[in-house]
Amino acid sequence: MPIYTVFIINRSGGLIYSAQFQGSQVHPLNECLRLASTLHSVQQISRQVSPVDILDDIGLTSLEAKTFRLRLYQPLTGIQFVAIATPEVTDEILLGILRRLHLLYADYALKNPFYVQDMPIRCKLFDIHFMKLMKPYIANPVE
Amino acid sequence: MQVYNFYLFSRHGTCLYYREWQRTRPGSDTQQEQQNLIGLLFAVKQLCRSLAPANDDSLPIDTATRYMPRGPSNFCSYSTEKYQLHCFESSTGLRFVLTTSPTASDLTRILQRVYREAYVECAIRNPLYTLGTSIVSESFRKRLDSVIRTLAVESTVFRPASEKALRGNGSPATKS
Amino acid sequence: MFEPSGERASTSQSGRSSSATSVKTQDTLPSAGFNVAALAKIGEQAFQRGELVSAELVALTYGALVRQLFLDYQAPEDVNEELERIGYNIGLRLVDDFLARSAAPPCRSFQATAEIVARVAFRMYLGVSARPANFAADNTAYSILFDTNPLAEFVEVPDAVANTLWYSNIFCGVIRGALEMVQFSVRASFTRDMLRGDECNEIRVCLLRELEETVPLDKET
Repeated sequence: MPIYTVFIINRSGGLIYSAQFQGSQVHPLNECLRLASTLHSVQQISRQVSPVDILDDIGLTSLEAKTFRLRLYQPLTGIQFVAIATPEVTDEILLGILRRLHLLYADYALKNPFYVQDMPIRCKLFDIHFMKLMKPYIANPVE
Repeated sequence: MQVYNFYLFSRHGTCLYYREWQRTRPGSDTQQEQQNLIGLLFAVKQLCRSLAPANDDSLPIDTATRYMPRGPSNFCSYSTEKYQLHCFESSTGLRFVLTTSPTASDLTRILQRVYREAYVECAIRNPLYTLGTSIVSESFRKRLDSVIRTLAVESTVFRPASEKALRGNGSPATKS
Repeated sequence: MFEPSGERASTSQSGRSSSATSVKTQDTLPSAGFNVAALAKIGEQAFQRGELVSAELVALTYGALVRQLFLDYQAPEDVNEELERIGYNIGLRLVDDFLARSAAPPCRSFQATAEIVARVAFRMYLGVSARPANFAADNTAYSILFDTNPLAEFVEVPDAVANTLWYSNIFCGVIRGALEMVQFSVRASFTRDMLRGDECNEIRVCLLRELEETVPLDKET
């Protein structure tokens, strides 16, 4: 049961896409929004408490807990792609997926003329390709 | 591997002990920094409880909805591009925090040793130490240093592996 | 830590135990997911690892302490209370020692603390085997039973205070202090004592409430 949650968070900490798969705790949307903004602010503070030079350090990029692993990928535009998986999924795999997710976002959200930037992603094509991308890494998706 | 600094926070979030080694960026306001850090740890604790997989049987059972989850945090470490922060929380709510250069290894064991060999020996067992006050004991510092020193020795032994893992993280794995 | 001495405190009182109330049937819950044998082993190992102190020395020191409290306070109720308070202060510290040195698994619920306290902590610090029993239906109370009490080895309580003094009340305080540090506010008290002729020692632990972790607020100065 590898990857079980994926978030896309915009520059100001708002959740614009979320997917919860089997194995995830089921959170209502409000709770997901709160988690996303908490994560965003944790990232900000992690820069402030840095013991070393913070130039070109974006803050927290990965987090390990006893039973899961979180990986965050933030391209220069400031948007954040977050994947949460069980610990046996390696960092490289997660990062690879997030980079491909970034491509999907560019293709099927940003290139869609009716998508408004920084707003929740409600694009059918994005959903379809997202599921195609995730399929090898997830257990049955939660409806 | 470089070791930057160490914090020990009490269950009420006050900093009981602070020590730095190879820290390069001087903290501007120590107190503010400690407050930021403890705030971060509390936020991370809630976050990690919510993000843990369903039916995680290593977590305490919460009978009622509460603001802070019960029991020690399941958080182990986070890393940025420049540093890694490791945290171990005891069941009594003490938080042992160590920052190092980003490595791939889990330092919970080291922090547990600090708990056992420094905190218990030099604070808990010292009848003149009042619980929850900052630790000024010289022997605490010595024991802390000796535990951290073993870490430095271990890391030279394991360096090749961890450096390789590090390079793996940075390499672009984009294939679409 | 006490070294368990060969002779049991109970031998001198075996004649009196017939009058004790019958033991309730122990509907022990299936030990909150713990392997009982494994816990006993953890306790035993921690006991072996620790430095051992003569049980006699501890029993005599404790005896002198109780005696002195008697001189100071006169009333046995006050002595009970003072012993509990001393124990509480020990418990606040001892819990960290316990957590750091024993390899006990973390408690997922209040019920789980019963197993850990009885099977690991009692073994580790006193060298005696205790067992949890008599769980309340709603899991807010349990008893810890043990047959050997190293503190009471040479004790004969005078008749005048035999029904008011809980000689080993320090244990109750230790349990209260230790559990408070892991966010369980409890009341612990002796309900049976072999010094009173009961057939085993029983400490009743009742959960008052679960404490919330306090989040420090930013001090705007």
